[in-house]
Amino acid sequence: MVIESLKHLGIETVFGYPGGAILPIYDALYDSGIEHVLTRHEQAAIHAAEGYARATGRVGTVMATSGPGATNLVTGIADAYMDSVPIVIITGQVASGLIGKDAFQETDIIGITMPIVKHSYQVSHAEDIPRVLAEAYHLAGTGRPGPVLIDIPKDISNQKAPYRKVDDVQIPGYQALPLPNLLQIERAANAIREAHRPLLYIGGGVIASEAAEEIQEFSRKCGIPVVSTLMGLGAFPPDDPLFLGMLGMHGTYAANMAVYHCDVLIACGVRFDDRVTGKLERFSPFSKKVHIDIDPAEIGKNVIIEYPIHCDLKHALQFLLDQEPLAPSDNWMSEVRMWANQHPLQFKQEEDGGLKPQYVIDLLHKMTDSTAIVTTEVGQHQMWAAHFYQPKTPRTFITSGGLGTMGFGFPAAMGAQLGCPEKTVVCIAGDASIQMNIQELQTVAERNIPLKLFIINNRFLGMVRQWQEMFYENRLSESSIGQPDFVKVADAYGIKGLRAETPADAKRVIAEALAHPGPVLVDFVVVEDENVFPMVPPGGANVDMIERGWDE
Amino acid sequence: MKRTLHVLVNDKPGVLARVAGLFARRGYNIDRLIIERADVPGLSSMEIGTTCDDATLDQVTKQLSKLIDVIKILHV
Repeated sequence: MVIESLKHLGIETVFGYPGGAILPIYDALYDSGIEHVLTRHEQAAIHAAEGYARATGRVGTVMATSGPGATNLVTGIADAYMDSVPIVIITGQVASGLIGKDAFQETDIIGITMPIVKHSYQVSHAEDIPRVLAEAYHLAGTGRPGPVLIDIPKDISNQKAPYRKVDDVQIPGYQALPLPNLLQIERAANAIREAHRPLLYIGGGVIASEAAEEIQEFSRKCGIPVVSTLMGLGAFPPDDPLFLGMLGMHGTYAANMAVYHCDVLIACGVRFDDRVTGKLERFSPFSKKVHIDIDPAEIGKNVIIEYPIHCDLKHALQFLLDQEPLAPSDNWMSEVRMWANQHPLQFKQEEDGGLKPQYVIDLLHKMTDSTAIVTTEVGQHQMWAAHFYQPKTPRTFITSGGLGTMGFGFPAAMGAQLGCPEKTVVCIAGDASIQMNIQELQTVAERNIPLKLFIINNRFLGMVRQWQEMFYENRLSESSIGQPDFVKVADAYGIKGLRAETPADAKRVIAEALAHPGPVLVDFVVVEDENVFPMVPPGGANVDMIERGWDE
Repeated sequence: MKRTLHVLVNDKPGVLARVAGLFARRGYNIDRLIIERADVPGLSSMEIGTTCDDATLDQVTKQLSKLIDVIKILHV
């Protein structure tokens, strides 16, 4: 019944791992024609489903058994919830009669995941399965996307029932596409028209609502500069003079200065996260704020909003453009360009010096012309990727933003590559992060998933060490971390492994990796002591950023 | 300030946990709670008393209305 429903919903690829309570569903999967990607850990399966969803824009699907299978998914569910990733999670459950009896591999996964799902179902009749699945995919993929969990007891999945087609999904009280309120839009347009220093602050919502074109048109037509969150990268071409880069804790000088000094801040598909705002009381203190979001609960959650627009971003921007909210901003533009030109992101790579992590990522940017899909793990390498990879189209920069999940990037790259087989997919990982889901080298090897795994190896939990250096008197508690010989590991899994220790090596090895038709692991042995700058110290305002390291 | 929310929800197992969990998780306190079958079959009505300021009430209402099992928030 489950598999039949999935087929009717057009689901082609699922990620998962079988086990006792989900055996009936795996039995039906056996000769169904649906592609099942068997990972080596349930956590990797769900991150792969996230990567698939974020690269393709379709809803990702993951299946696991009850108990430990289900609890291994929890990190991924939380990650998808924080970053609004559309996925459907199907878990097996012990038979109905055993629920509540502490049966073998029983866990209350509905209860455990209640705060981190958009919605969840426990199925109690087999004939409900088609409707529940149709609703789940609808909920996951519409409105503000998110994870939806379906828990199916084994006796229910064992039942045979005639499949009844679900024609349309009706969920009382759920409105996928809120209609724009024209009065709200008019008020916002007036405010923008009167602005002298307007600024667009864009985030993941631009990508989710497929509004990148509208944002670009709006920005260019009105001459309004743009800053982006980590999740919004790729929505605006980085070489456009209107683009000032990422804002927030590791934002660019220009982006953080602009957000501090602007007089109208137009926030599009963002949630005023603490990594963006710094100290809230001093966040963009001179601006009136327009906030366009599909989720009304985000509007006014952290920051007072003068001009709320509760609406799908794409629609809202089209309506705003009709209002021609041009803001004269010549002086403002020259001011922000001056900040951008005088304070670019930078690093120094000496030709015969140790290999710099930023240089590796800058090379990848240049050698792929940023046409590859990049996923990242979490930490310093993630911030350097955000600074130097310079993604130029939506869905080409996939990273764990809200939850900051180490172990996300490598399985996400598998999902992205399976969803977009024609693209080059590169996972930029740290030497510690990669060890959190390194077992997936086997999945990559046996399916010959041709992703490129670039390990930025500095022998440290680099971001932890950076904080210890800066805020904990250099007491490096447990941040020095060991690792295996990654090239030998690759070899053991039957994957091509390469190593680079100098700038010249890096160039040669990246070319070799990109040209290789199968999966490649590259161990970039970089200098240990590089840190991420600029940095807004925790508790500081965006203008309090530290631009360079202490030593310079 | 004392407030009362009247919330129409699906009459299903686990709905109270979703509503109560949302209050707990976001740090809002429930002072008073009455649940009864609504006139409409399949629905229950909840009367929730809480003490909070306007901004918190706005946020509670919006977060509640995002729960799929919450059909309508009648009045505050």
